[in-house]
Amino acid sequence: MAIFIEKIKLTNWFNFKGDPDEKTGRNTIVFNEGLNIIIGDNNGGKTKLHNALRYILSDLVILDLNNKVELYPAEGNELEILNKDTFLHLSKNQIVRFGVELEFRKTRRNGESKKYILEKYIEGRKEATSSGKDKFHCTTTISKAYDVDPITKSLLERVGEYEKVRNQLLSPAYMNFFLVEGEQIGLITTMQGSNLQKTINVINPTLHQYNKTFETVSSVKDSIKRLENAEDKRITEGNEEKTNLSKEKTKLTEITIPNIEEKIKILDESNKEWEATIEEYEQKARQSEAKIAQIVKYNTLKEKVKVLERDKENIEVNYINSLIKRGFNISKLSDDILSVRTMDQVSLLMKDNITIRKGELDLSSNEKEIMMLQSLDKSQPNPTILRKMIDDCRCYVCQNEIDYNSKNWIEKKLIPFFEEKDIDDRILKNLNNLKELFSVLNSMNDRKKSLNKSSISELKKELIEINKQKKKASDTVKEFIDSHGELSEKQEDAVNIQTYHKAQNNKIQNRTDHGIEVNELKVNKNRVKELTKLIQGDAAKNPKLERIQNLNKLLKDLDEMFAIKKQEIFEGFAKKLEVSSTLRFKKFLSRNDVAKHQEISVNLIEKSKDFEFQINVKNKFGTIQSQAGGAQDSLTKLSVVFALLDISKERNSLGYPFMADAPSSKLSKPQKESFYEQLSCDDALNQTLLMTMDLFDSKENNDKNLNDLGLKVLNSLSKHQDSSMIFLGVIDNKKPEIGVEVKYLKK
Amino acid sequence: MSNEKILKEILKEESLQKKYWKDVTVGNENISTASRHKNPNIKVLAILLNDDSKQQKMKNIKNIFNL
Repeated sequence: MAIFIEKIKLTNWFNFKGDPDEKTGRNTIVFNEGLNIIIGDNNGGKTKLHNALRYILSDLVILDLNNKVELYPAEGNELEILNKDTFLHLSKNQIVRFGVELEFRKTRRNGESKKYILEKYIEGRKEATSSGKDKFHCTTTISKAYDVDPITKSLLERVGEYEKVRNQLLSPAYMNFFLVEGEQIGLITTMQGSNLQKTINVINPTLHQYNKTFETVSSVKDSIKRLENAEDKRITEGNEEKTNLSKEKTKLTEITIPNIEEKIKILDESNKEWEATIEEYEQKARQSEAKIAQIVKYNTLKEKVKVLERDKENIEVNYINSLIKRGFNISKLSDDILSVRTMDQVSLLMKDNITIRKGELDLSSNEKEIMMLQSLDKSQPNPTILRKMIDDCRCYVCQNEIDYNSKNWIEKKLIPFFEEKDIDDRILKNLNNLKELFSVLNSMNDRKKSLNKSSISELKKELIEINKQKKKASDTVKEFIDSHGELSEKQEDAVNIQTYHKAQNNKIQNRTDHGIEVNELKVNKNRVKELTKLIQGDAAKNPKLERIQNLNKLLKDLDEMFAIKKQEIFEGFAKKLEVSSTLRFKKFLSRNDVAKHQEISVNLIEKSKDFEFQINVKNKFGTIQSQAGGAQDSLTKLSVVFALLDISKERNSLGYPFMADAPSSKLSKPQKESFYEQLSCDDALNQTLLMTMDLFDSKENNDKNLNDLGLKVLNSLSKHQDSSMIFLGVIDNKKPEIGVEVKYLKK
Repeated sequence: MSNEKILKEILKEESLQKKYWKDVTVGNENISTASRHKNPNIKVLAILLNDDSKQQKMKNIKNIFNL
């Protein structure tokens, strides 16, 4: 399959003024199927023609704007492209259009061919701006594709299929290979920057596939890495927590728990001491306590006796007071016979009371004896007489003999009872005093006195009762002292009790503290167990992180493998390019003996995770020979361009037209000769449209204005029927916008 | 070269084979069978080479590794 550009028509395209006219050939260039060399002077239209081809293929044109020769979109730069003379002569708001129409043919191997037309125009009108400067106002852009009927030659528009038809003319992937601009941009844009990868992609589609997967792997790897980082962060935070737990555990095991254990140990030791103290002092303390209790009891009894004595005194006082209260007035009584009688009676009563009191005071006699003694009192026994009776052993009353027992009783009981003796008893003393008093009064007044018997009797009863109690109390105290001896509280007892109770209390406090500490120890030990579990649990490997890491390892290895594959492809391509371009280089310099020992080196340089080619000419010793900008450098680049064509031809059977502008302008004369010689018979090329000024010289005197090389090439082309040499020259050198003349030097 | 060829080429890579699918016979795998393979690494490889979007690939890979 081959593509041939048959015709190109230019409308108001740069210097190509006006509409094309196929009949006159104005603005219409017809090409042959082989080598078409387009020559001309500066501004003749060669580069404009190349720009027309580029515009059809890419919407872009090469312009020199602000001294920067670069690719610019046609839209927006209309006035740079629209023929200036045409624009100048436009009236205001007049519609004008400029653009390109290209007719090409696609021929299959079986000889079948089909024609297509691509047309691309920009329409607009001239408008005046406020500053008075005219401007182009774009109204329409037209991009149309047509099938040409092979028989009728009629056109059938392929609506909306401009790009599809255009891609048949030249696939965008091959654009850099077959549309080459020499002077302005540099010949080997295909080897520069991202274009290199595009170039290799065209030659070796594997790279594209690898790159695609490589990008995916990298992207996924980055995502997984982020996932790993997030998981890592999560674990690190967990680890921080774990570190805190470990710190807590260490503090518990190394400080808190040993401290508690030490406290418990100390408490146990002190408890032993308290227990020993308790054991030692328990018996002593109990004895001391019992002793103290007895002392208290003794003191209470003593106190009771004292109270009784005091009560007795009170009763005696009360007795007297009571007598006085009852109006017992001695002076009054002496004048009162009744009172005398009463006094006499009282005197007797006193005597009785004295007897009773004596009886009461006679503690050695029993009640019966006392009663007997008291009854005898009425007979007023005289102790002197009684003693005589004993001596006579005869009772003076009954005259009976007194037996031994009676004698003994009279001597021991009776006589002492009635003997006047000083008895230390206040009541008795009082009674005796009263008796004496009443006796005196009675004897003085010889009158009997009487007192209220009943009241005296009551007092008597009280006194008896008091005495009874006193006796009982005294007896109890005596009995107590006799049975226990004299008790007195000693300091030792207090110490015993105090020590014992202190030990008891301390033991209780100790056990309480011990319980608290044991509980604390238990709590802390449980916490240590819990912490151990938590720490061990977290310390165990994290399965999720492990899975992420495994995946990351795989992705990393795949990433590296793809990087290696990519490098291998680049290296392979560099090697291939090196071989092919060296072959081209040698072909172009077939007449140059030095070149026989030279070859092109293509070195792969890694730059910013990508690759670049460093292309040089080296001599047989491997020394770099290229000089940037020199003829050698241009030829090297040209060799690379043609090497790319060779390689693409190997890879792809499509025969795209090769469209080059000034590829050989910087070559030396001999190099140009070799170049054109080679070009005329180059089997890598299908159709070639080569714009050059290398062969033209306006000062030459021959009718074609060709230089020597031009004539040689023309001569060479004349041998090839499918080649042509086309001259593009401005009609007026001073006013190139007037128009371009198209002249076929060889058709 | 298609992705199928790349898959075969990668599966045959000795260094990767030893690390990621040493006990697996990878002879006649294609992207479709590899995506159902019992070995998760081969599954991942198949996902990386299939025509799904990057988001879908990421989702599927996460599912395989339970992430």
